[in-house]
Amino acid sequence: MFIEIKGLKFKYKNSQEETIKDFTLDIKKGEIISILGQSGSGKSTVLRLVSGLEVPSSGTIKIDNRVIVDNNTFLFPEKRGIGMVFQDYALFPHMTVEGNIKFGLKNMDKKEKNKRLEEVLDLVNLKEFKDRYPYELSGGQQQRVALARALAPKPSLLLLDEPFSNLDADLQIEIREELKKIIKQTGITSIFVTHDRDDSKALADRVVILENGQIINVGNPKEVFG
Amino acid sequence: MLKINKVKQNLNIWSICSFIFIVLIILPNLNILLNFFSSPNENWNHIKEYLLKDYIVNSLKLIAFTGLFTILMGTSLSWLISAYDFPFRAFFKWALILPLAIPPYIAAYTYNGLLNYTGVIQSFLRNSFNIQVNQKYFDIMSENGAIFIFTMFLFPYVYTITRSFLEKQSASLIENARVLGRNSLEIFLYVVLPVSRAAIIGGVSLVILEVLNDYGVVKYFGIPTFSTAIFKTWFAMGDIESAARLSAILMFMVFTLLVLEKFLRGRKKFSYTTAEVRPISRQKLNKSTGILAFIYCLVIFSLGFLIPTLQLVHWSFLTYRKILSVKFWGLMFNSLSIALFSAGLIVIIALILANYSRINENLISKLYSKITVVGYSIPGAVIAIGVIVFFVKLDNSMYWLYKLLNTNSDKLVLSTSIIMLIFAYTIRFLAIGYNSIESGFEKVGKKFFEASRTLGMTTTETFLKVDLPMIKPAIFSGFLLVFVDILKELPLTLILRPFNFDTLATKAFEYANDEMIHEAAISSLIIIIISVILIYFFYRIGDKEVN
Ligand SMILES: Nc1ncnc2c1ncn2[C@@H]1O[C@H](COP(=O)(O)OP(=O)(O)OP(=O)(O)O)[C@@H](O)[C@H]1O
Ligand SMILES: [Mg+2]
Repeated sequence: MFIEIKGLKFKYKNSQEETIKDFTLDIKKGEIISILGQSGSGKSTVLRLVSGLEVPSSGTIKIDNRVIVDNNTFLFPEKRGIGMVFQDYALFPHMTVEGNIKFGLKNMDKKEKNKRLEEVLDLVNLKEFKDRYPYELSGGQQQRVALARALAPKPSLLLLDEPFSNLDADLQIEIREELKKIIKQTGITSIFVTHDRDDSKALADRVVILENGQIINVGNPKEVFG
Repeated sequence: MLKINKVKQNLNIWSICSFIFIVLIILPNLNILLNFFSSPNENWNHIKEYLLKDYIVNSLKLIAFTGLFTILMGTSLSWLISAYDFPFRAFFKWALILPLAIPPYIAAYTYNGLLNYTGVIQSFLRNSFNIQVNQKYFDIMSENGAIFIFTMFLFPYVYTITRSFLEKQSASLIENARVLGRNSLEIFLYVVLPVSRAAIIGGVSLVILEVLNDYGVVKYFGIPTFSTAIFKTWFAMGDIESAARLSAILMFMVFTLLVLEKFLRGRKKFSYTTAEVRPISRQKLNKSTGILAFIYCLVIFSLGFLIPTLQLVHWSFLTYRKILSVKFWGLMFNSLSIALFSAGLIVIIALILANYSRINENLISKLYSKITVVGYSIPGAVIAIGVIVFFVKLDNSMYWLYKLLNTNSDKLVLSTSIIMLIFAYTIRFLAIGYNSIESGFEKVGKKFFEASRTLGMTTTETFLKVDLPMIKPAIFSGFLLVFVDILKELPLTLILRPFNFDTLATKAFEYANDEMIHEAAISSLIIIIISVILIYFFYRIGDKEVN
């Protein structure tokens, strides 16, 4: 398996109960996983654990047979090679689109950086916007910049936290199709979080239903939704 | 296993630096507290028997009356300004903050110069009306005089905090009370005072800490309090042990005060988070009450700012030819350079500590920020003693090293250098820089930090590329606040400065103490002008953003 998550447990400092209880999941290379669950079920927390923003109290995560978390190891987020698109995008307000996208390309020379910038801008269809600042973009454009920024360093895994929640309803469907196209085009393994079944149906190869920090069902959308 | 893991995760340059800073802050103060448990010497028995009671009574009297009067003045003004319309209200709204620009010690000798036998008031009465006044009524150099000075120049702490609370938080409560047919006085007593209790207590605690920190006023007026006693015991009697013991008692008083503040304020913070932020709709006062309100504000503004400033301007004209010499520019240079350098250093340390505690939200980091902030409440006299004892010890234990570097090195190296003063400034003013930067971090939140980490940047890279540019305004305002505070600072500078190192503040104070009040005017004015500019930027412009 490309990604193996085993027995992940986690509790926020000020909460009584375990937020994540025994999360186990294997993911094939290139697969698109959707985590579906109600608000507060722990979806974002799972992504934070995978990306390294939180430290699990136990459990293992391996990517391509490399351990990134277990009882003796904790790889910092910057060492994991995992891209993440945040719920509210978190685009750096003091940098242009170009600056944001190039931010993660630290080990490249200038020419390579520019080349990669053009590639991902092409991918998300935002070539003319490269000199704009985030506040000069629409919500949908911001989201695409966030996606381009996460993809630019060629991560081995892409995490998306409610990628459509900040968009207007009619825009959501359009963007969903576009996102699907982009992800398929790059062939990147991804996990995206949503609380909308339609998102899962439209995008995911497999759906994970999370309730109260526990997986209660896994399978392809047809199986799960019947 | 996991424990080790977590330790490893947290151990980096940020945590190491933070740890070192915190230890350096604690050590000198710990020294003082530990001293308290050693057996007292003979001198101490004498102090305890004959003097201690005076120190305690005087300090408490100053605190109690200043506290009471600043509450009365601060809350009445903030209520007037936030709930009513009257002539020049908008001007007074921020002008009433200006007394903060005049350090109490400068106010003290300005008022003395104004009121004494040769001062402008008595001369005028004598020369124009041939009136000889009873000196008793014109002698400000007394305990009552000190209370007057502290009240007039510290009340803005209560005024600003209470006013901004009233403006932002209390609209619905007060409008309700008005609808229920209560008159203004009833509303003030039964609604305004109770709901703004937390804000008032917050403000008056700052006033009291300033009174306990003061050395200039009580020294100049000759009132035996803890600050003056600590210095006298140390310099006149050469008894540093008893001085440290007095410091410990003073520190104990301060901590009691802080606990009391927490207790009195209750669990309420300054703001009710649930209430929507909406300004009070102001009532227009009718003509005669409007003029009364105007006069009330004008009198306070005149006493607290206009009169002493004009007096200083006048004296400056009398003395500028004599004062503005090469020596004076040296003073300017000393003052500005040490304030710039120390403020820069403090902001850097504050940045490191604030960043550390933001990234690691655990018990240690909470403790760190508590310790950082407590430094501001420790009176200058106490810090001075703590720092000097600490540095002398340091010098003693490093003497071998000095000798290694320079065979005929003096024994006291660090403790005779300016490093000691900068160190003391850092302990005392770190809190100001820290608070400003912490609130900057709070505004920005953690998401950009996290985004940067997932894009492959380490904590330090993130700090430089993301955090630093985003909290620039907070860093800048923290720097300015610290800068001005150092410029005005008196007790630490007076005691810990190297031989022959004068600043605007120390020179002004020396002139005043040598009965050369006029000569002190220019230095004092410069300090005041810089403070006024700062207040203008912070309050005037900050206010506009809110409105
Ligand atoms: N920083 C935190 N500290 C303490 N508890 C937290 C923190 N963040 C989240 N929680 C709690 O952990 C639980 C799971 O939160 P999480 O954000 O993972 O839910 P979610 O499924 O993403 O919800 P939503 O759909 O609303 O985004 C919730 O009960 C939440 O209150
Ligand atoms: Mg979430």
